[in-house]
Amino acid sequence: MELENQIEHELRERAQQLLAENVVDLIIGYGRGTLPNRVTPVFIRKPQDANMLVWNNHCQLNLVSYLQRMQSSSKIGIVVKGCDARSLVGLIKEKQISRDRLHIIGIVCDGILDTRATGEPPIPYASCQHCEVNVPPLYDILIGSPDEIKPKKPSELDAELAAFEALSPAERWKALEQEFSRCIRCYACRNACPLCYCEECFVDQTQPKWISEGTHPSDIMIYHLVRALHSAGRCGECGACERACPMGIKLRLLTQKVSRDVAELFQDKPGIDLERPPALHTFSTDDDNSTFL
Amino acid sequence: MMQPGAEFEPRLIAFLCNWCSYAGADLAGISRFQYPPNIRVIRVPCSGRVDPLFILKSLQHGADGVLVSGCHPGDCHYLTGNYYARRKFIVLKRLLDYVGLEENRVQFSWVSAAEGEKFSRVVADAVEKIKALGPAKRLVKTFSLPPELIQAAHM
Amino acid sequence: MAKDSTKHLTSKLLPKKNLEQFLDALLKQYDVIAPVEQNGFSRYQKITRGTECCLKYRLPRNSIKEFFLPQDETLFFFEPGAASLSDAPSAKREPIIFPVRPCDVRALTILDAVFDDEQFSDSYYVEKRRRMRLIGMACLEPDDTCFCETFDINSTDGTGCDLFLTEVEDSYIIDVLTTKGKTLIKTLADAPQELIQKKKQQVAARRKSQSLKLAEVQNFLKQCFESELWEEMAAKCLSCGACAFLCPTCHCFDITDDVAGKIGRRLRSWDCCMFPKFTLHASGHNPRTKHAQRLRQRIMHKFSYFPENKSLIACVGCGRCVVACPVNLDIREILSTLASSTHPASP
Repeated sequence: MELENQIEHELRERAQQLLAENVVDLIIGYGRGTLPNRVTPVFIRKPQDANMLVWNNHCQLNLVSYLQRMQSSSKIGIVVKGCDARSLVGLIKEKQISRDRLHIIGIVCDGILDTRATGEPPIPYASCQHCEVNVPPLYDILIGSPDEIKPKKPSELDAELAAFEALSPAERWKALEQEFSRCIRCYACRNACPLCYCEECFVDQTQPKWISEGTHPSDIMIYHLVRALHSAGRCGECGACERACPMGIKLRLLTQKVSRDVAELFQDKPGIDLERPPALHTFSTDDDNSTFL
Repeated sequence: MMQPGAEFEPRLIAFLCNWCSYAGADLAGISRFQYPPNIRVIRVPCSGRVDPLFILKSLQHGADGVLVSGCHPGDCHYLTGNYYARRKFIVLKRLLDYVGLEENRVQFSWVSAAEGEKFSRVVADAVEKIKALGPAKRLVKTFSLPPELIQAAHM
Repeated sequence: MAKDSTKHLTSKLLPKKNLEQFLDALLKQYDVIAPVEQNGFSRYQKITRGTECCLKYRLPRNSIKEFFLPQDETLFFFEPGAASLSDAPSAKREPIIFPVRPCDVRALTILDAVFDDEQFSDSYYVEKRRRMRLIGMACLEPDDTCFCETFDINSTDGTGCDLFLTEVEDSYIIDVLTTKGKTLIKTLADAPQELIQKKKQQVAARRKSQSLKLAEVQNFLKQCFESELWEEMAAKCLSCGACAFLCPTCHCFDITDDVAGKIGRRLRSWDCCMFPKFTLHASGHNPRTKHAQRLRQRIMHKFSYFPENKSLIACVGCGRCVVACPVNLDIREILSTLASSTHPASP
């Protein structure tokens, strides 16, 4: 807790400075929420408001999703965790935002607590438990010390994923149908994802109409499968989609699978290297050909 | 509706690229190579044009299987389209297997314009694998219908 | 919707330990919809055994509206070449929801005003409403996110329910409010007088939920359509539909045709004013392209347009949107901001 307060203190100081010196005209950060254990995005334009910024282990949102709509600001300061920065790198690579317009305030993050888990003591989110990007891969200033981070077991599957993988194909299909039966198609997952930025999502297209309205299991399955595929080679594994879901659907079951496949097949970890093209935006003549007759 | 005792005849959607596999299918016809009549061909400019969504939509609306075929790697009419497609389809294939859509429900191949014989083999092979799987069930869109419509739905 | 007398017919006693047994008995004859434990919350769904019912959370994440206005509702089926349409098969057994909180019961009166008023009556809705039995439960303690008091909802009043439960020590006192309700509790004993007394004390001592200043909000809404506040408040809105889809009163819907194989259906599904597509015209023009315009619509509809048209406020203070909003855009905060904006003196 003490470490966090230190980070928060430094964050406010640096933010104030950035705004006062006109390095940025807007800072997107976390502010106090209206509920215990919740934070809310804040958009700060005056140096004296910098003390609205907070940092704690409930900063679960990925603020990068707000960047593209901030067209009026010429230079934006944004508070990012390691995973958030990965999606930011993705957006820069995909030319959705110019690096020059950003002042990236990276924060060393030791994981965000799972507000849904009811047990004591609170545990970090599944995606945080195996995170190896505690330090943002891209930043202008870094707050916090990487030395304080406890080492993680990166390559291990979390228990829920491992249990899912152990099922037979028929059981996996059934388990997913069960999981998605709670989907209310609010699209919080899509809208919370910084990399879901299509001007018109395929589910909203009407000519052709790819999937129907309503909650037919087949349509819902297609939505989630295609969303996972669209994020292939791009997903920064921040888990914002899963945390945004009001029905607690384990979206990780799909997104993590795709991420692991991309890592294994193309030796790529999206959002780390600014120069490297996203895995599915490129190819190698030596790619695995065994899938093709 | 399938008659009891009759052999299951699957319906496959085949997405064929204009420059190689579609020409390959043409050559198979001209050369009188026989292959099962279970495929419905959709010609696309390039295997790179095939969106995973097309494949999922086919399965959702009555295809028992999907075959995607394009130019051999290195021979793409657009130079690299099939290389991008290859990455995309490997990820798709793995995801479909993982979620429990049966393996072989969706198949991929490279068939050149000169490979009429290979085309007939690829189709025969694909149809055989899908026959072994039986009619598609998962992802197929059906409604819970009132009794008077259940018969009509299968006609 | 007309219910028979709201006067108590009698009071019955249900020891808490017999609750599962009570539900199992109902399940023999009815479809029972009850909260089922999920990952950190509960969700109303059909149960098959009494043990599935989870009362750990005051309000299930979803509201009961989906059992009257389903998110996915087939209005009719059609087939090519056929001269007639076919109705969707209907459930054989009558449904019961247990437990329903007073805020959700109020929400039903709001839906009634839309789907079953003097002018229009939606047969799909009305039929579901007619078949449903509601077993209510009093809230003696509010959650942090409750603000039903704002709308003068008495959280211990069972009006609109068939049965109404109040927790007293290790039992529930069941008020029987309708003859439909009476058939559900035939085997239960009468509640002893001392517990009924105790219940009355508890009801009198109930802790009320937060009450917001609504008059000022509505005042503000009348004059401030173009206020800059909307932009400010909507800055963090993701434009997802979590708030509207979990809301017990949001009732906007879309009607589309849907096809599977050779059969088509006319589908009624939920729609949501937070989605840009909600107002997209066939011409391609969209009058509400901005987050702020859409958030304003949502607030205006609930607190200005609906009251004007129906003399009811289309919010019941259940707090589901407060809990579920992925970015903690809190409707209470929006209302407070609006309320304080009527006084230019206060910031």
